[in-house]
Amino acid sequence: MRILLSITAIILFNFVQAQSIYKSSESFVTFFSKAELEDIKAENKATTSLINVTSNKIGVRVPIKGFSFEQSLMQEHFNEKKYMWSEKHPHATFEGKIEGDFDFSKDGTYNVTATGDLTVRGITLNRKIEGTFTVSGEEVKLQAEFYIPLDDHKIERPALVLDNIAEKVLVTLDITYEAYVPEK
Amino acid sequence: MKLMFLKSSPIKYLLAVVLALSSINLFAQDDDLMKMLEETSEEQNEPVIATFKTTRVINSHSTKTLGKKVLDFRITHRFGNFGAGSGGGIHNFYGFDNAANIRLAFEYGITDNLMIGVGRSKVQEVIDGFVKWRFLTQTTNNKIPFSVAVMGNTAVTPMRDPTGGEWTKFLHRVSYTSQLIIARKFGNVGSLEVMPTYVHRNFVDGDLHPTSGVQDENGLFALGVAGRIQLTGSSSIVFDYYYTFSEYRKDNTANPYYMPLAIGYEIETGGHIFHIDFTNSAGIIENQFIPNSSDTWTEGGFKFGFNISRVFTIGGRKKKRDVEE
Repeated sequence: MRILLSITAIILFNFVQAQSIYKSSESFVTFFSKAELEDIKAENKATTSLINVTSNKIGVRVPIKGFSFEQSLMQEHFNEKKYMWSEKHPHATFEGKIEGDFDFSKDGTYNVTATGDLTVRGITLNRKIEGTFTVSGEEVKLQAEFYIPLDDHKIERPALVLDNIAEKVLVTLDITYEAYVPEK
Repeated sequence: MKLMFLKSSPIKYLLAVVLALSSINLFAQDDDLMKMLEETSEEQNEPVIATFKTTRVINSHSTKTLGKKVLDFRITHRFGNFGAGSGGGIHNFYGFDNAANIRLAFEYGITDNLMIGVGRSKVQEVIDGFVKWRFLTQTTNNKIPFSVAVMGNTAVTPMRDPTGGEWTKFLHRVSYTSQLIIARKFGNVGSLEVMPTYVHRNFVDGDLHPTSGVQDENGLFALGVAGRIQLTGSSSIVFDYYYTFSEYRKDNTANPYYMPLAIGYEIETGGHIFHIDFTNSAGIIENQFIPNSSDTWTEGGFKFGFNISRVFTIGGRKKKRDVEE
């Protein structure tokens, strides 16, 4: 009987562990470059993310080719070697630890910061990013906004288009999470 | 009763260890979020971009079509023959004093895969219209290993009848090209394409081959090869070549035609794409350069030339495309 109990306990424990993962069900990532001559913006709905509420870790993965522009020519240039070089670096990622109090089982709004590695165009920088969790029932929403300085990630701003591209671009994240059970 | 065997302690411990290990395993996996993300996110079947930077390699069509609502204004210019052996040389500044051909064209993207264009060339004052449709696009996961397009054109010459009355019908002025274009991009190294092509001219000269006696064919099959070798992000070496299958063109000393070969340098700056090139063909459209390239590289019969492409996004802006999750 003791054995049965411990088996049940271990299985239950595993299940609880599994429940501590939240996975993105919907995502909306934008970037916005405001320069003298031109505003450039793009949207991406293909981002995926996971949060482990036991270890407070977060991972975000943004496929560069998922950015959609108003002009197809702009989209082509964006993916080229000179700028994002998406063939070599298909994803931008963030992997970090969330600090600040939050509880996904209680409705409310929580201001948090995440510290970790931001990788864009193959270059990883340690960043601290502020965000907000909004919990309502089963659904958790993450909203964050931060700047990416192009120089830091070796993204060129050729002299010819200096007035068309901002020095730093504003990135916004809007991700909805749901509890996730990994398939075994 | 069924669990009786569990009472034997080795099995009991073994089971406990296995279960414990399985839970550790799950722990470890849970903590590597990036790895989990990679495993859980289904990679998109993404199209390969920029196989060719523009709709032409030099003279040849590439598999590229203009984006939706993109207008391309093209200027294709060929100076005169470079070498003295073919009428060039120092006395006409290696062909720069002449213009063998100039084509001005407006081309437009109807959808992201379908484009049309209209152009006018100096040679025979020919006016051409074409449609190109790319129906397959190479994907990053190689599920589709090639990009494939079809191109069809019709060209009409409004010039005064040079034959002295043989062009009795309007249709005598018309020629057509149908072409399949199969291209593959090899990473950041470059791209290669082959172009099985059929050219039909409604009217051909009645001259006979001096030895075999065959007449020039109305319909000609040709096989083109074109490529792009990337140098930097925005510049490349480009070339194209056609082999024309023709009895009339075989060792025809009286009326020789040669295989068109062009080599050039391509540079892109924003919305402009420039080509500077050397080619032995004066014709800029398939209907002319495949059957009627009468100059040869070996006697200095190549011309310096340039292509300019300027693209504009016109009309409404491109509709936002939703990316499937």
